[in-house]
Amino acid sequence: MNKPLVAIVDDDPTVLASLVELLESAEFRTRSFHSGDALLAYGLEGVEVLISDIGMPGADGFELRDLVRQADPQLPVFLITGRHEIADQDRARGIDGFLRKPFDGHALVAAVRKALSDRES
Amino acid sequence: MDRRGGSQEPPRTKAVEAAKLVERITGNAWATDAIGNFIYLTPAALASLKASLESLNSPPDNNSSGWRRIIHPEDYDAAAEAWRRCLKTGEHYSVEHRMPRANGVYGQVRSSGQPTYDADGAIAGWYGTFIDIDAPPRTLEVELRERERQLQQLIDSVPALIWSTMADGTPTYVNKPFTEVTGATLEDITAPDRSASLGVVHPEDRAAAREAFLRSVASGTPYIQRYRQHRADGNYHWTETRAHPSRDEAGLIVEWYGVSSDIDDLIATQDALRESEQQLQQLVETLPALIYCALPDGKPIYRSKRLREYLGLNLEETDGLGKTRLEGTLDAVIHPDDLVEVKRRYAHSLATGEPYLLRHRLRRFDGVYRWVETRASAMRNGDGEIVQWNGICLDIEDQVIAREELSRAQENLTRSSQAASLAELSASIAHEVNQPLSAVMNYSSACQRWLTAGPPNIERALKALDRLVQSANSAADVVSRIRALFKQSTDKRDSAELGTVVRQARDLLAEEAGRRRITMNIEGESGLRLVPFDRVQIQQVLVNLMRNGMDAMASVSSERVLDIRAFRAGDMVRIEVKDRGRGIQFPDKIFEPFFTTKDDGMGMGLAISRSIIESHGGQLWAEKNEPLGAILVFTLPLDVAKMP
Repeated sequence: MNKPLVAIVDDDPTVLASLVELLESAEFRTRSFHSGDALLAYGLEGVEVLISDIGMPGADGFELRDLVRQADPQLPVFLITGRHEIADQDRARGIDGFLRKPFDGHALVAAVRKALSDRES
Repeated sequence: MDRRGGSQEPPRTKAVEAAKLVERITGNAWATDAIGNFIYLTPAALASLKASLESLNSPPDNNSSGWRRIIHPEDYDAAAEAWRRCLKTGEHYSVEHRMPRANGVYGQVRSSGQPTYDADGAIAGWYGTFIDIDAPPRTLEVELRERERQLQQLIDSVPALIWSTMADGTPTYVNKPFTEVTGATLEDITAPDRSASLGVVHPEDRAAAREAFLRSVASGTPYIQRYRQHRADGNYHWTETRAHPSRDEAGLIVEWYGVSSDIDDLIATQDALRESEQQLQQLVETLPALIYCALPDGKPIYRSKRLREYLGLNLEETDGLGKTRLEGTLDAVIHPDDLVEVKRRYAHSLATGEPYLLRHRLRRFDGVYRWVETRASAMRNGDGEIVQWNGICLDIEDQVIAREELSRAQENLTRSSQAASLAELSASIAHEVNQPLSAVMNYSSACQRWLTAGPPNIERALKALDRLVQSANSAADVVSRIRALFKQSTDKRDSAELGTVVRQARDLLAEEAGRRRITMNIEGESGLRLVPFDRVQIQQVLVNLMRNGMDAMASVSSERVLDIRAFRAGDMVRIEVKDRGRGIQFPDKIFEPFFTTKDDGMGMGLAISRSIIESHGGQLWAEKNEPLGAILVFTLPLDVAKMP
């Protein structure tokens, strides 16, 4: 069976690498990007889940989410931030899949799996 | 002849008896018979005339004898005519004529006589007397008249209005100037009842003048009165009138002599002066300041109304306390904590004449002490001697309060901005720590998964663990860097070479730069030795500036180049980080805490960077790069002693 493909966007290389390691250990395929622009340039072909940092140069997490939802409205998107002020902003409220750094890696993996199974059913 | 005439016994007639009676009263007398022959003449008179009765009775046509001896030739005919008529008719004789005196000089006499009658009613004889009615000799009279004329002239030419009245106040005289100036004659100032009409006195002043004049007349005391007096042109002039009584030998008042002086100019000047004084007084009283005056020794002699009301004290109220008025006043109104200094400075000014200026607390009438600023300076006379001290006191309580409030507000602001930057710093710290911490948690989860997989992937687990340790170390680095930032300590400082620090910063960002397609050019003089500095902090500044430069070029399509240069400028080293981005829109604000142009920035990077550079004795600022972009420049002191 094909492993689901997860796209990961973060401008901090350390965080990006750690996310890749986490998701690979949970038997996902990953494709990592240093910016939203890089992801858009590459395309969403085969991507089943998107995990993105919010604060990034160029297109930030919120813009990226809006853009990919135009192409695939059902695509599960997880946004993460280290800035608690951003998490408290109006545009972040009521959104599923919103995470504050640092978060429990197992919880992220569980949430991603649940999103995929919800989508299949 | 005298003796002969005198020794002759006169006939005992009625006329002779009557003549002798008259002689007793008047000193001389004569008697004739019925037809006019002298039968008696007072012997002294005969002696004085050097004549005898016989010679007097000689025929009248003889020029050298008879009546001609006792009557001036010019008066003779009239007298003889009158005498003949009286002898004929019996009417009384009364004629004035000149008569020679003993010294030969003629004097004026009235010669009068009347007949005596016998039992039948016929004229029996005549008797009479000479009454000396002589005026002074003509020369004396002329002299007196001349003197009187001169006196009159004097009185009329004196530039004063002179008048006189009788003892009871009835006007008797006004001089010429009086009439010329007032337009009033003696008649004009005399009422129908002969009293003084005071018609020249202004109606409003007349009653008072009359009362004063009558009082003087009644008591005999000199009269002095000021009133408006009528002028010939119809105006009234202020006049001062004085009058003194003139007394006879018995001390009884005979007349009043008065003089009126025109004092209109004086009064006008006095009025103007009074008005000017009033204005000045009003000015001083209405100035919105507390004003006082003191004698050269400091004794207060004047306080403006505002000051009196402010203190609630009158000048004299602090007297009689066994102190000088100055001391009593100062003790009463100056705040006890300021009293010593006030007294010291006041004494200094009084001793030296130097102006006085001091801020102190002053006790207000309600017992509240308020801050005032008091200034006083000496007023000197033409000789430079101090005649008075003039002082002004301004209530500056409100300014003092306002200033205190301002400084309190500034203090609060500083504290709150410190608190804010600490809060901001906490957020930054959280972010800085969160990144490696988040990696640590991801790697730990991954590590667990590799180990619990079936079969366990030991190789990947170890690799994840290795990265986990790296991330944890980097989190620890952040914490210690931040701790160093707060400590601002110098114990971490060493004498590393600047070039090394710059290269390390470049290495740290090399991967990122490559990813963002940014070229970094490093250029620097070799052997730049700085005074000991904190390499972690300086590196943090460099990384911060370089990252900012990269961010600035994130959205430009032209070539992305970041130039880092370090070179000597005097005793400092100058480090420049140039980007080719869109430039800085708010060069003045970018160093302020919280100022950011980035959505995810908190605006602390440059603020912290600047405080780090400044704590090292350098400066950090922004310049414009040409043709585009910005230059962030900072300086650090060189260790000149160790420089080649």
